[in-house]
Amino acid sequence: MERSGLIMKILSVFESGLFIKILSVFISGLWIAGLLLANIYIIIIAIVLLIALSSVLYIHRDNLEELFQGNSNIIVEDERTQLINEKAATMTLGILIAVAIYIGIIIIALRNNYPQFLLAGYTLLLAALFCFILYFASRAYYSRKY
Amino acid sequence: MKNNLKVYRAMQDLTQEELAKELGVTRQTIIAIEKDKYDPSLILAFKIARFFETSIEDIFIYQGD
Amino acid sequence: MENYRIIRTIIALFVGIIVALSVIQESIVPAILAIVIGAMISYIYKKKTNETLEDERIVKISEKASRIAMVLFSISIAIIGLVFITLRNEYPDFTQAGFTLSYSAVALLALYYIFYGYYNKKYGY
Repeated sequence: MERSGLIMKILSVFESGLFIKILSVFISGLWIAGLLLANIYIIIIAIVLLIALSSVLYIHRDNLEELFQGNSNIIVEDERTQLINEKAATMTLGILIAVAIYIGIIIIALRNNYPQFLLAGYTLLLAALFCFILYFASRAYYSRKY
Repeated sequence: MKNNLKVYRAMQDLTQEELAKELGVTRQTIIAIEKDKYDPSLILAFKIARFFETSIEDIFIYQGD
Repeated sequence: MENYRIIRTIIALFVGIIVALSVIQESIVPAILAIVIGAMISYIYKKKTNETLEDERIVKISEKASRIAMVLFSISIAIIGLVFITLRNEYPDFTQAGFTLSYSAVALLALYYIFYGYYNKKYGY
């Protein structure tokens, strides 16, 4: 029980102040790299990450002080945030995998009309498969545990 | 689930913040429970009941499906 | 629950084979038809049967599993995607894969925070 608590703490890093700071630095780095390399795709990635970051900050808008001061007296993470975390992860994974599989299949099936995207299609399917394996592995682990 | 948490909290003159700290949860969780929007886990429910020196049934009102 | 597992495996095999065949034949229609039919059969079976298909324990397990899978998955594809993009001069063939993975990682993060906001509101914020 102790060990899984530790793992959960590590996994809840997505909502911690430290992660947000690291993410901001990463976004700035991506932006600069995109400008230096004159690559629009990297800048697009940076923009979308920025939108995601802004939505995190908006969600926690009442907690921002607590988040960033890293005040150990104030508890930011408890069973309710974990529940929300888990439900959100389930929905995200479900939708992402479904979309990845659909788009992947469509791209591969249309490989004569749009051959330039073929690698993307295979990548999507392989990534979906990888995610499935990860999901069923962790599901087996938790089935055993509970 | 309907509950009397706010009443019990008022009886002991505690803010949501103070109660949250006593129970080891976030203030948002106390707010959510009082708004009937979040059902605490069994462990948390027992902690709450024990804190107010009463039974779970006194605080939480189960009305069936 | 046993019956449902058997039916689920059969449907998965059925859909998998037809999709593989249709990809080889280079047409989408059979693939999409198979997926839709599979989904419909699964749905109809769930409605008609009396067996309990999932309870709170199973739901809890699947949610916890999703969480870990998502974190590991997002970190892996973010790193692999970045590696492919960085090595675009040495291995130009994999650059597209790199961008696909990076965009997927970003989409995953964005989607996750949107749902986080939704559930945060639902559970009383």
